Amino acid sequence: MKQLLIVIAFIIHLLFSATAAHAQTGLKMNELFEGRIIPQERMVETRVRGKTLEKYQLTYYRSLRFTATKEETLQLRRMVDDDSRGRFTSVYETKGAYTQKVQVPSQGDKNRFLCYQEQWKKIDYQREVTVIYMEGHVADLGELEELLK
Amino acid sequence: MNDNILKIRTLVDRFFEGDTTLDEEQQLYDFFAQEPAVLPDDLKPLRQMFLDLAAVQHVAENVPQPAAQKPLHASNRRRWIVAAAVAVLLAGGALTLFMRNAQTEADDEYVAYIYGQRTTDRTVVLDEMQKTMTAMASTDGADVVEEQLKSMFCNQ
Repeated sequence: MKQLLIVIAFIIHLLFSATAAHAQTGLKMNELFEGRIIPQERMVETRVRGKTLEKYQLTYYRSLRFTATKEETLQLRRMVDDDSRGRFTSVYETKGAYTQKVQVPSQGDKNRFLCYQEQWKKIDYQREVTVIYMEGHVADLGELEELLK
Repeated sequence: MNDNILKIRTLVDRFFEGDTTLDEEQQLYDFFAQEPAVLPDDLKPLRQMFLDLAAVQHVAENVPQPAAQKPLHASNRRRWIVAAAVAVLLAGGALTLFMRNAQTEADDEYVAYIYGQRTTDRTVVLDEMQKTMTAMASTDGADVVEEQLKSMFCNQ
């Protein structure tokens, strides 16, 4: 009976571990999504899953929007750079904004994308940051950019 | 001989009353195993019955005894098999529930946390999603090229 209980407890532990895992698993930027960089009270977070995303060939959409200090943006840039290393990435930089999009490793049959954007504010070096994590059947970054236009 | 016949008659009576011991029954079987000719006439009709009973008893005595208790390791193995089967069933059930929940979630999730305030208002959530998507798309492609070219050449 003791053995039975141990096996059951192990299976339950495995199941709960699996369900607790987040979609952004394996990314440095996961720390931001977990609220370890910017507290939730300072940001607007959106999570969408469902038929609305079908027209974008996506199955999951999660975005964060907030105002960041210079130090915070430096940290976030390092994180997105880490997530971009060795992966298909597109970077656009203009006078008013910096945008970086990365195709991160797929999970199962779903392709995953991470988009990071800073928009300059005119005061105190502060920047409006938008981070989007997307999952779906979009083939690559080019197709994603076409769909988002 | 007469004493023996008398004793047998008594045992037969006790046999039909169900009062005989195993030893006494064995005496009856032995007695009726004799040739019919030596048996008194009134006991002859009982001979075949006691021969049959003696044969049945012989068979019963030679039935193999139940196997001895199996070694402990076999018992443990069986316990593990049962535990594994239960665990697999449990895991299967839990996984089915999880997949069903995941599917339900996949069909419908509209959540936004606006500066710490949770909302599931679909319109609000989709507006916010559209806003972030537009922001991300606005610096792409031709607009960016145009802006970069402008910044490159117009400042000269």
